[in-house]
Amino acid sequence: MPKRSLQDARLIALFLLGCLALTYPLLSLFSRSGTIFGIPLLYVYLYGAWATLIVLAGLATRR
Amino acid sequence: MVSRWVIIASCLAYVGILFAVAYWFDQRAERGRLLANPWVYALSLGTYATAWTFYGSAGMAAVDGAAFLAIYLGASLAVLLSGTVMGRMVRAVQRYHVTSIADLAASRYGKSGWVGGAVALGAVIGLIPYLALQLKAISNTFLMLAGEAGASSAAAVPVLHDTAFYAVLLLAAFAILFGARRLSPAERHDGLVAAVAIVSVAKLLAALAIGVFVVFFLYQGVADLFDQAVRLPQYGRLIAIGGEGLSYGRWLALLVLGMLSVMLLPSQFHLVAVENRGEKHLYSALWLFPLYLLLITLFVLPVAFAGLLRFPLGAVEPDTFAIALPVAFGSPGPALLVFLGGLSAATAHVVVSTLALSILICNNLVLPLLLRLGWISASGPGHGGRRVLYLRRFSILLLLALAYGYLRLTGHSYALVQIGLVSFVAAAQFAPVVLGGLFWRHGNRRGALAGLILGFLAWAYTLVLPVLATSGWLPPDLVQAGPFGIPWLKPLALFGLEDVDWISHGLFWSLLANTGAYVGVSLAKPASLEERLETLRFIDGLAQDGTAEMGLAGRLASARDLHGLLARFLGPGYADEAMARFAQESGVAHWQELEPNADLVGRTESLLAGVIGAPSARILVDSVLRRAPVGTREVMEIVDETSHAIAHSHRLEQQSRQLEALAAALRESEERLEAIIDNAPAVIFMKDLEGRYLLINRQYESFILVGRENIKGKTDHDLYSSELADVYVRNDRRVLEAGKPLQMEETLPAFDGMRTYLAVKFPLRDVNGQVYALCGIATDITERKRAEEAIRDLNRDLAARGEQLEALNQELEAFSYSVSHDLRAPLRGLNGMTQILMEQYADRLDDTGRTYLEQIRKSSQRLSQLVDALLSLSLVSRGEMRREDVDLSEMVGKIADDLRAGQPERQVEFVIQAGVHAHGDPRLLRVVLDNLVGNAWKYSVKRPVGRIEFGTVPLEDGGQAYFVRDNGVGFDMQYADRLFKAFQRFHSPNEYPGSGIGLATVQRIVRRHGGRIWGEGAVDQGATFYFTLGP
Repeated sequence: MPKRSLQDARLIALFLLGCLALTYPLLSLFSRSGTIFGIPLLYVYLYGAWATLIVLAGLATRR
Repeated sequence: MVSRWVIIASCLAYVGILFAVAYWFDQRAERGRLLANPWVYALSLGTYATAWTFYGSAGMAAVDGAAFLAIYLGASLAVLLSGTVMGRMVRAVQRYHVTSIADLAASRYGKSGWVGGAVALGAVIGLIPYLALQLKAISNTFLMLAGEAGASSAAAVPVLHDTAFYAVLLLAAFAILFGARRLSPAERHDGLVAAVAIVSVAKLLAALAIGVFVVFFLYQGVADLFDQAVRLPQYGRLIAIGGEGLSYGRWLALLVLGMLSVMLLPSQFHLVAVENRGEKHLYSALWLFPLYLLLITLFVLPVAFAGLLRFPLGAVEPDTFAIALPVAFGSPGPALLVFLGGLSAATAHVVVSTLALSILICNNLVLPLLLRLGWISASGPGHGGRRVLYLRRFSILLLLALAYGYLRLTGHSYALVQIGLVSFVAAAQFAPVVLGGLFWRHGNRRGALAGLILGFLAWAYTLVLPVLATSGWLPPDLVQAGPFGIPWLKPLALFGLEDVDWISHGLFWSLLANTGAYVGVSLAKPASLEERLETLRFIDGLAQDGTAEMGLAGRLASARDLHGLLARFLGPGYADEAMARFAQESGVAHWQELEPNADLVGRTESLLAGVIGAPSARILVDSVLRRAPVGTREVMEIVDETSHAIAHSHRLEQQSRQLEALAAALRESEERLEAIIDNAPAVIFMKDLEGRYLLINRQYESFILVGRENIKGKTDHDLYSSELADVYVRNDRRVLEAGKPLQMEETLPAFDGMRTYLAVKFPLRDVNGQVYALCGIATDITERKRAEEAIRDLNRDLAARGEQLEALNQELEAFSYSVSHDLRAPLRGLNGMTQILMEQYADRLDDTGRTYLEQIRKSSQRLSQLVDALLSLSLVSRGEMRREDVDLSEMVGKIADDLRAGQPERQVEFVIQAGVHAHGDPRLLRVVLDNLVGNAWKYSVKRPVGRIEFGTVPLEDGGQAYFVRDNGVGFDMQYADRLFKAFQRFHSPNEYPGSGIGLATVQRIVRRHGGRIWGEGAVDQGATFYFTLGP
């Protein structure tokens, strides 16, 4: 199952990346006033990061 | 508002559709067509978004801003670990027929009823509030939609008028019909999963619809909504984390809660692992499920902001914003849609959750107890399975009753969000035991129990106690001042940990106590050998391609008893089928012939566990085990297994020691080889098949002035001019093509000019005989080469000089020939004249004159003889040589006859060896023998009887020499080297007449034949002349 284990390794890396992106030091960079398209920056960042993770997870599990 | 009856009718219609769907899929599954679809699987996981998400998230957003997102972000992150963590759960379900999270813990910790029971108890207690929350959501929103929100204090309403009560009845019916209609060996409920998936779609549509309604109908889009929200006093707090917003600690706590609950809530475990139809579905779910969560939470914040803008603070519970907004704006359509969405969310969760919890209660709490008490036994009348089924239905009702009771007693004092989070922290208590159990071999039963007990105690103390106190069931002082007034025991600030919100505080202390106890006790009190063996098997069986070996040594039961057990709990048909399968795998025709064996017992137990849970199955199977007297044999087998393991590790150790020794020897031999290579005076190198250097020795290093550490990968083209390199590469290729060592000369540039090397190059082969490299050893032969050159020069000189001499010699010979030839005519004249003088004028001369004349005549005759001899000598050197077979013996015989005829008076004895042949010129050989035999005749004249021998003698070098021997005067050996010089005489011509040129002639002939001649003799002892003839 070398393919499967590579996939798992990618997913674990993605998990760690997500943990990093969604916790203290990085998160604080976006926790400030300001809006993008009228939406508060924090929410744009959280949903953006979330969507990125989903896309990457989808790509990682393709094939 | 919307009429009660319209609402009820829509509810019934909606639930009716769900029933129909579920029923259809159940029938389909019974016909053997299972629902295995990654989308359905991912959507069924959407049950995670309960009524709590549907309504509570907006409430949380209105108070805490982004906090609600942490739960869903955590869940999205956790499912990324599908392949590792959840994959193990799925495999545990498949291989060990685990039916619930409590069962997983029980199976992992030695089929322990205690661990399973503790998890089950914790799950029931911890999740009752979460169930209550769903009921509360249904009833609250119903009232709100019906416009009766004012009378919200449900406790005051009699049970029969309480909407929540009717919701309970509906949900119980649904759960029993599709979760506990019959027992299935794998706890799979296709109808339920299908219904849940549809429900997930419905609530997603509802959530999106209300979002669109709020953002685009009540406001002019997102930007407009947020523009207006800026004027809210709490706006700044709601759009930040840290600073004035929610703390990072709470954010992190919620993130962790989201991660753990998505795997460990009993309902989630059920959907993720028990209802999994294939491990690969996990991989689609891991991005579909987060996508679902993202979509369903997309409009939570706009709804919360709209609610805050629309309603004065405190007028409407933020939890109900989603339904209050359309109601307030007079849009009953969207309101009803939202209600149905919320109903969907609540229904799905309640049904799945009660199903999961009922399995867990039955299999891990009640059944083990009943079995131990003997109320259900392995034998006896009746279908054991039917009782189990009733038990399960009863526990569903019990759970809903408990939830309803909880709601009526306390439910209205806390917001939905807080209740939900308390339950989530309870579910998080399973993390150390379950996750640790899946990965950590040292976790054991005692540790698991200790962790669970301490964790739940801490959970109850820090999270439940304050709820009870707030609801008036406990004195508020307990929370405010701490028990007995001890401040560091305050449930909300344990050990003085303040500045942390309630949930984070509880999560931290409970997980700390839990994990600490689990790890600490597991390590301090190692498990029994038996439990350790089971643990090893369990974890090995979870490896991706591991195979589960089921049997445990020493557990034996007869096939009949096992069949009886299966028949009793799974039905006779199923039992026959299963036993037949076992029999087939063991190669036996009928299961009745199966020998008692441990694997059979293990597999039967595992099948039973799929229905009644691991601990109950263990108890049942134990009851039919052959009662061997205190298991000497079992102990022996266990010991045997252990000693096998020990022997195995011993063997491994030995092997590794041997390997080490081998490696050391290898290293030594390598060093030795390196030392030899380095100290050899020759240039040594190794190249790979592409001509890249692999190693060179010190000699080579010093010679090309490139260090060995830099040589790797270089080719000849990097080191030498391209003409030279081309030559080397060509030579290398020749060797590789020949496949054997070749020797060649190569020139290499050195600091003192080109040097010549004699190189031996050979291919190196690996163990399979494949050529993998080329090795070369080159010796400097420049000096030898130079010496050879000098010798060649010298030879050339010599040859030239020899030619000169030859020419000179020929000239001389020609000269002497012509001189002798030209001398003969005048000499003949002189002789003739002297003869005439002697004959015609002798009488006219006086005596003196005659004497003089005589002298002249003698001298001229002598001169004639000399000239003749000279002429014959030079003739010998000239003219062609014709070699043929010559009979020397015959030739000597003729010569002897001639000599006898010439001097018949002499007494000479000839001894001639017969049949001596030679290969040579007969004319010349005749001259040789004439001379030699003639000399012998001449010099033996003074003997009374002369003796002359001819024959051959063998030589040391294997050839032969001819000899002529006499017994004449002989000669002194010290003059032996002068014998063959012309005109050298040992005796006076008067005594022995002769020209003095005979032996010189002989020597010349012998030499022309490629042979040599030598003489032996002594004065008066005779002489012997030997000669050889070349080939």
